[in-house]
Amino acid sequence: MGKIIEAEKVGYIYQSKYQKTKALTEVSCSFEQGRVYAITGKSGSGKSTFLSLLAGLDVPTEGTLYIDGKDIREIDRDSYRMNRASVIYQAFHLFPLLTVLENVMFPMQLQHVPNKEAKTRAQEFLSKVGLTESLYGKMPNMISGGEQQRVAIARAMASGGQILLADEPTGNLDSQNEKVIVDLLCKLAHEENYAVIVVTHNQKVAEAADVVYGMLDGALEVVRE
Amino acid sequence: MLNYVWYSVKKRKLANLVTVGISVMLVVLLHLYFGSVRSYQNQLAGLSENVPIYCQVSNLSGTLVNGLFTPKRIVDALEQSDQVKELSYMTVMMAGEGDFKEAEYSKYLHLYVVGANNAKAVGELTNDMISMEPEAVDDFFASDRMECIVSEKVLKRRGWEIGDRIILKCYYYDASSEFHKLEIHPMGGVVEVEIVGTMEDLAGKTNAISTDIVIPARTVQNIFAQFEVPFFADTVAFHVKDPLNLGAFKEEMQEIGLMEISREAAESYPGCALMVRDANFIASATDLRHAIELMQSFFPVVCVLLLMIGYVVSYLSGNSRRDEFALLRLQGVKKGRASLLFLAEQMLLVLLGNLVGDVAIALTGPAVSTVAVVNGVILTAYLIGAAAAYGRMSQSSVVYLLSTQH
Amino acid sequence: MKNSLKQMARTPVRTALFLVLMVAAALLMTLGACIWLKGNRTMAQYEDRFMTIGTVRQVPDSFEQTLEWNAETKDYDVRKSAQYSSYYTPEDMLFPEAEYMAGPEQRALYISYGPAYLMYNVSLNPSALSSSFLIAEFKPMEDCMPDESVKIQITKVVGGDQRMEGVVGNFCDHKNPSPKMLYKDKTYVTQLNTYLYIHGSMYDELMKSKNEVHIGLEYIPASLETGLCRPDGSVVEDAFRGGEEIFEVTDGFYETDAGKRILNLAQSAGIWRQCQPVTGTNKTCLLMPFYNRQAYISEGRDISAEEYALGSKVCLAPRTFMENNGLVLGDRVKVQLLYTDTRVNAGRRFWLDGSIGFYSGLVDENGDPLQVFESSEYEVVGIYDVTISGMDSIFDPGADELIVPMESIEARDGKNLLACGPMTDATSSFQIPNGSIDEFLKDFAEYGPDKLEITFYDMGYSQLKAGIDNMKKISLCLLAAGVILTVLLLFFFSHLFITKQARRTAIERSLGMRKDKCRWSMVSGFALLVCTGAVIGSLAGAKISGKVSVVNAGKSYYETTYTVGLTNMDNEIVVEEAADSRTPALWSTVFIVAAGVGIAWAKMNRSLKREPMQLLSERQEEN
Repeated sequence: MGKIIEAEKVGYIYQSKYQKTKALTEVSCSFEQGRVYAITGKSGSGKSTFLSLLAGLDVPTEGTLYIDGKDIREIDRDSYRMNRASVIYQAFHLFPLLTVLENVMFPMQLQHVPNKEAKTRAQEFLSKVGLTESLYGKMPNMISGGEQQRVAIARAMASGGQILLADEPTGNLDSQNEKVIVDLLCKLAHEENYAVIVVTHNQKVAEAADVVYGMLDGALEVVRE
Repeated sequence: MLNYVWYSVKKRKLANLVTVGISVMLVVLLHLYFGSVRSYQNQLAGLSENVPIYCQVSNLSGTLVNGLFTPKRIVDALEQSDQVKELSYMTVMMAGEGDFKEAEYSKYLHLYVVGANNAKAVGELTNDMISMEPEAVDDFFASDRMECIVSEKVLKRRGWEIGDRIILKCYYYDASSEFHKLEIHPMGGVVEVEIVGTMEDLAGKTNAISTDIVIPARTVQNIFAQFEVPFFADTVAFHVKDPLNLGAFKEEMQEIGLMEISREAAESYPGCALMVRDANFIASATDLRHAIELMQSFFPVVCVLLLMIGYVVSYLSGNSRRDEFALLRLQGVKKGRASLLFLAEQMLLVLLGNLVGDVAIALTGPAVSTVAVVNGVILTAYLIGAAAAYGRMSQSSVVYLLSTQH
Repeated sequence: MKNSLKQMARTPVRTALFLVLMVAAALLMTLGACIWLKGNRTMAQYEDRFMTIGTVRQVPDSFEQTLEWNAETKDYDVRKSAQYSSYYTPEDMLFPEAEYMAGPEQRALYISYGPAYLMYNVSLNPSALSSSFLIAEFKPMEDCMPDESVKIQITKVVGGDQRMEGVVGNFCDHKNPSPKMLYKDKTYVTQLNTYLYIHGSMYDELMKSKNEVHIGLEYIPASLETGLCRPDGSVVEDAFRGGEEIFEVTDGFYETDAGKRILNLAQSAGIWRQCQPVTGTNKTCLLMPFYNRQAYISEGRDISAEEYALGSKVCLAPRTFMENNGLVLGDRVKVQLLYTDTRVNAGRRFWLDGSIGFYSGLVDENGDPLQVFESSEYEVVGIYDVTISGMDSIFDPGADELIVPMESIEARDGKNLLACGPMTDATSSFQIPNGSIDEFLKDFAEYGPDKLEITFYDMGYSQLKAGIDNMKKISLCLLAAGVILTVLLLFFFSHLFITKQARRTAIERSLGMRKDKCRWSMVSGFALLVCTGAVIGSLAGAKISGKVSVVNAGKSYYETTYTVGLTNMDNEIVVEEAADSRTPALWSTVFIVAAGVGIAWAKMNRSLKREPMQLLSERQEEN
């Protein structure tokens, strides 16, 4: 299976008004579809920064990050996020003004999928993540954390991209919901051929992953492959 | 994408209401500001229409407005002036009936003949006191025909009838060098005039003189010219045509050669000075101008304030949506598009506010240009504020925006 | 509080913008209030320039015809005189619905005896012969019947201008249908008034001889009766009424009643050259010449409302009188009231051209000369100028006329009343609020006396009223809009500041902070911003407002060349007081702080009502 993301000596320096902070140092690794990757590490080790780079929210200050073999600096990163990669966060980041269903429909609407079709597909995605129809019309703040995260995953699926990036997706969840989410992520990788990259410090999540990277002070190392 | 705007408009009720409300009030406030200035200006225009400025030609000391000798030059200039309206002037002559011997003038000279350019010029005479159709009266006074209107009393006493042609030997007044003494001199011939109407008796405004015969002013001017006697007007009064342009009027009066009255001047008969009864108008109009200027001088400050409020409100409310902005960006929506989306939403709300404001203010009847300016200005302030907010957000990274949510 | 401050310090842009917003709101409000106040004051002044004055005229009940012999036509002239069953008084115009701002009043003309002053009439020609009224002994040039103009020679002036002694004049017992023969060897005494042009054979001869434009006048005799009347218009009984007018001077004649009466009458002959009119009123604008600006105060000030009410001894005097007598503002004028006339206004007796229409019979019913009935000194607070009107001369002011508060005259009940009449347009007036003419007339038709006719003058206010109301309405709307906008801004601010920080409140509460403290923590920060903004904004507003007004004040927009009737009050600049801007600034601050804290408090209560866990468990949400 081909590598869809490849990092080559990627480094990143946060530059604020007053100081420079080196968040990543010469990170080299690659990601393939159909597998679940876990990046573990302490808070501040740089794993979320790495995830942001993978999501195309920023570009490396050193080294190169290849997406489908192309330098991320040279591709349309907005379009990459819209069509190729989706991010889910610990804080879910659902549109507060949109209902569950509308949240999932949103990426398809961005891709100009006709409304009717988007709705049907959104419903499919929602049922895939195990949410019942009674929740579709609710506002995000009316449903539980586990449910919100599942909506976020459904929304990620709706974008149609095959890369799913997750930043502490279970950080706000109880163990029961945690398991549901981890299973869902694994299922996406193994059955739907997604490349799932999870940044976590949760051991259970790491255990479920196919590949585990560890990150310490901005440097990446393979923990388990 | 537009769906999102729709959802947002639908669901952020209170926030939108405040945004719309503020923009309504900004529009209303600006409109009222203009409206207020306009109401003062209207009042000023009304003042100039309803509080006419009355002017009288007087002697230099300002002690006489009747029985003057106002030269033809001044009368003509006033008649031709664009700054003057409702000019009325009259000339008093004495006359006797028939071509009597000048030595016997005291026996015959009993008729007071007045040349006037309208009924009002003859003391308290009004059109309805004259036994002619109103149009015929106006036509009579405007003409230079050898016609006259005679007082009913004189008509009866002399046994005249309408349609009669009467021969008048006219004498004109002249000021001697001494005060308190007027001389009368013969014109040097007779004129024949046709009686075309009668008028009710009136005690003329010239002391104790009751007018017996009225002749059109032009006819009298012609009579003076015929006998080569310089024409003068006994009384000249008029109104200022455009009180709002008082300065230009007064300049013209100065050009005409009318002087300001001087209390120190000796008593005299020449009508060479002007009394303009505009004290009330000046006082009232000054109040209004003061109010207008007050409003106008505060305008830049108020305008800047309103713009600032529009800007800040727009900026702050734009800024309060950075979460949504970040989420859109996260979904791969481009900076420009995301900004435009919110901008469109903001614009929709502001436009709605403007519309409500315009409708609310429509009753005061603002000018289309004012509406355009007001709406344009407010909208611009809003858009600049929103653009600043979204511009700033666009420059921040999504990660930063997400990590610094409030 | 500390937390709030920290929070604000960490979001400096936001805090700064909040502050800017509050400053702007306060500035707007202060400016709005200042503009409104100033605009309102200007408009009030503008509106006050309009005055609605009604003049009152009693309509006669009937006309009585009296016959008067005319020696020229040898026939009776028919004289019509208006008859009134009784005179209405201003009190008759008081009814509950009537809202008078001044008056109604009927002004009497008081005649003040001022021998110390040079009166206008005399000033025009100090050495002029006073020939028009004399009490004199005369002889006819020959025996004659005075039923037409006859020549007489004045042999002795008993009362009047002594220079007339020896003058030959014309005489006719003009109004007597059966005059008596006059003999050239006898001396007669009578009151001589100049009356009409000569007539009869004397005139015919004159006409034959030369061209004489100015025909001579004749003297006619007058009755010795008192000229006094009662306030109801009736004449005072007097034995001399309708009696002899021409007396033969014989030895001991001046010891007789008639002789004594003549001597007493002679005392006041020519007195009018030393008299000036005094008019009492309750408000200067009730006098039509002042209302019309035919007369205008050019120096000093008007009599104040308080002075009018208290009857202070202050007066307005005409410039000519002041100049003729070397008086200046602040000087005192001695006023000695000698006669009263309720029939006419001063201008009808003391004409502006200097002529005087005087009274006869200046003795009481016992034949004693009339005495000054009230004497006092009035301080001149204002000097007025008069322009010639050319028309509406019924309202002309009198020469040398002093204007005094009506209340300052104690004997207002008609002492030494020489003429009495009903209310007329020139003597009776009142002021009502602008724009209330229709209402007044409606009420007056219902409650007022039938026989009174009212004429209103309002300087065009009725035509301008709609516009004035509109100005007021818009200015009020403007203020209201400013207030609403300020409240909305406070709402907006509190929404961003408090509602948006509900999470912070929830955290504070979940940490065990009491509700009160939470509220204090949040509201205090908000209040601090609001207070700071309000104070800065208001102060700036006051400052700007002051600056702009100073620039504005005292600007004249119109050329005053040719202008007559401009009083010194017209140019008076409304003095801008510092308090003018300070008061609105203070009120805006108080309003904004109170409203801001109130709104914040209410919002905070809403936040606090919700359970902290509920707040925390949901994502930050837009309202």
